[in-house]
Formats: sequence, structure tokens, C-alpha cells
Amino acid sequence: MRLYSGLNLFFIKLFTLLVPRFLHPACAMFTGCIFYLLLRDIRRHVRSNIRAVTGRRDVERLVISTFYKFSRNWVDILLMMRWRGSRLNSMIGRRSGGHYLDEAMARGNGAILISPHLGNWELGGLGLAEMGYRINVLTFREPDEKVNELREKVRAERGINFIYVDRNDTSPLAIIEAVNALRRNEILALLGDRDGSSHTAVMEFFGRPAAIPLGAAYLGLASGAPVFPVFVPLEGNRYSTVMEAPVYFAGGHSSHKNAVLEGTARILRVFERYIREYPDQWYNFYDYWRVSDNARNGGQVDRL
Amino acid sequence: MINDELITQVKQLIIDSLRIEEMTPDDIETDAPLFGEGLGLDSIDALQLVVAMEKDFGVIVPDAETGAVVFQSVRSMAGYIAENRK
Repeated sequence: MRLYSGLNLFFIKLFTLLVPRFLHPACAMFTGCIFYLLLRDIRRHVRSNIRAVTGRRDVERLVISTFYKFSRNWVDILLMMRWRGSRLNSMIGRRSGGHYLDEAMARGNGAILISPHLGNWELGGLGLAEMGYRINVLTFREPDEKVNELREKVRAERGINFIYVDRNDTSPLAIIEAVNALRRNEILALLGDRDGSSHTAVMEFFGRPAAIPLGAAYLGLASGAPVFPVFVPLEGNRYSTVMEAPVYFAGGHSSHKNAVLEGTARILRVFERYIREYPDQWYNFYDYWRVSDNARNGGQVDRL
Repeated sequence: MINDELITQVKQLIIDSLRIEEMTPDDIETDAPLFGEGLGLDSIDALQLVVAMEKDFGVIVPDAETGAVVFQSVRSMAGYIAENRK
């Protein structure tokens, strides 16, 4: 069953229109438990991932919590797509690190925001757009075209630009548009813990080799833009927006490899810290490290 | 118009922006491929050249399709700059 589908989004949207937000946690617990019970394979994958992250075997509460919080996440995403201004801001609680972004933008090279699949990263982009920043999202197309249409509709209304990358395009020039956005001193947002198309390297992640996308490193090195690890975890009934200190990539032609690996490793250490803190909000509904193994064995991983 | 001066400027741009050590413009063949064989530039170099061309010549490479043509050689880069610079 595909979780991201036009049909699912239709029902979630209907739910948000009919049910007030204060009832959402109870409904999310109900639906989360249903999916937990029905989706045995996904349940097993989530359990495996959380065990790797926490180092513990007894993680079933966290597994159930993952289904619950993912249910809440998607309902909140559909709400966010309708809400503006103070209503949208009401979903955000703690904010930290925003001064880093303003300092970076003053330098004129743009900024790259990188996040793992943790919490509600979509809210981060919408929130920044609401504040007047020009946001570009670097992404693959979703398999379900209805999902793409919905995202594009909302983002067009909010002034968020999409830059689509072809998963199988090996050309480095595939992300030229992203470089140009940074040259215009705009913000580029992308996810950085999986799905790296053809520019990926094997790196240690939670003590295990994983296929890590390198797009942010390439863009940071090419443009001089700082790369900010950002996180939007659910805390209580609201989301926190956290921006960590930037990672700068620098180096001449002969030192590209070292610059990319060292900078990306620093970002991964920050990712690990937040995923350990919020293990039930790291949304990978497949065996994360087995897929990495397959990517490596299938020769889909760059050797820098 | 592509002239020898522009060709030399492009070669110097490549050397300076990519920080290729111990190389002069005379070491770069005008018509050799930039990537793979020839100069052997990599993915990051390609993106850095996009940035450098805009900074130094005010010329933007808008997309991957254009980039694939522009970055074939020093001569193709010079030709694009000559056509598009302000």
C-alpha cells in the first residue's frame, strides 16, 4: 500500500474539514494503531530502524508511536496547506537558530536547508515562505501524480518553487537550476538522509554504512552557500523549528572529495543527534539499511 | 565574437574558479572535452563553472540542457559567453 497517494490525501483532507484539531490526537492514535496492526512488513521495518537508532531491542512503544505521529503529521500537513498567517504560526511552538539564516542571507550566496525525513519538514518550508523568504525545494517527483499536483498547487500559492531532479540523471548539470537559485540569494531546501539519485556515497550513519546523498555538499561547494541542518519535530501539540549552525564546504579541485565527505559527515552527526532524540518521528517505512546495502551492491553509489 | 583573448580568459576562469594548481592557460586545449577525458573535471567543477561564469561574465546557464552544450569545451564556453554577455 502506498502511503503517499491521492486517495489517502483526499480522505485526510476531508477529515481535516470535518474534525477540529483538538480531536486529532485521539483519531491519530486510532488510525495509527490500525495501520500498526495491519501493516506487518512496515511494522517490522520501522522496528528494525528504531533498534538501529536507539541501540535497544525493546522498542515496540516507539514503533506504535511512529504510526501515531505519522498519522498526525499527514493530517497537520493537509491543515497547513489551508492555513495562513497566525493560524499557521499557531502550529509552531519553540523556534531556534533563525539568526543563522539572516546572517547567511546577508552574505548573498543563498542558503541550503537540509533535513532528514524527521517530523514535519513541509511545515518548515511553508513557515519560511510565510515570512517572505524565497524557497526552492529540490525534490524528486512523487509516483502518484495527484500528490505532485497538490504539493505544487499549495507551493505555488505560497511562492515556493520546485526544482525536480531526475532520479536516474547522472549528469552533474541536473542541479544547475539549484545553483542559480542560490546565486539569486534564495533558499534551497532538500532532504538529505536517503534517495540520493546517482550522486551518493557510502558513509557511516548510526555506526552502519548507508548510502547518503551528496547533493547539498555539491551545491555548497559550488556556490559557497552554507548548509543548515534543520528540524521540525512535533513537541506536544505543536512543532518546533530548529536550525543548527551551518556547515560550509570549501576546497579546490584536488580537495573536492575530502571537502564533501568531511562536511557531509558533520551533517550526519547532527542528524543522528536529532533522530536519537525523536526516533518515532524518523519516517522511513522500509528497512533503511537494507535498501542502502542494495544500492551499494547494485553499483548505484558513487565512489568519489 | 570569439577571439583569442576571450579563449584565454575562459581558460583562466577555469583555473581560478576551480583552484587547479600548477596549471596555466597554455596547458588547456581549447577544443578538448572538459569532462571525462581531456581536462577531467568532475560534477562539482561543473557547478562551480556555472557560478563563475555568472560572477565574471554576467552570463547565466539556465538549465541542464543548455549546460550540456556550453560545457563541452573551452571553445563552446567562450562561444556562449560571447553570445550572451551584457
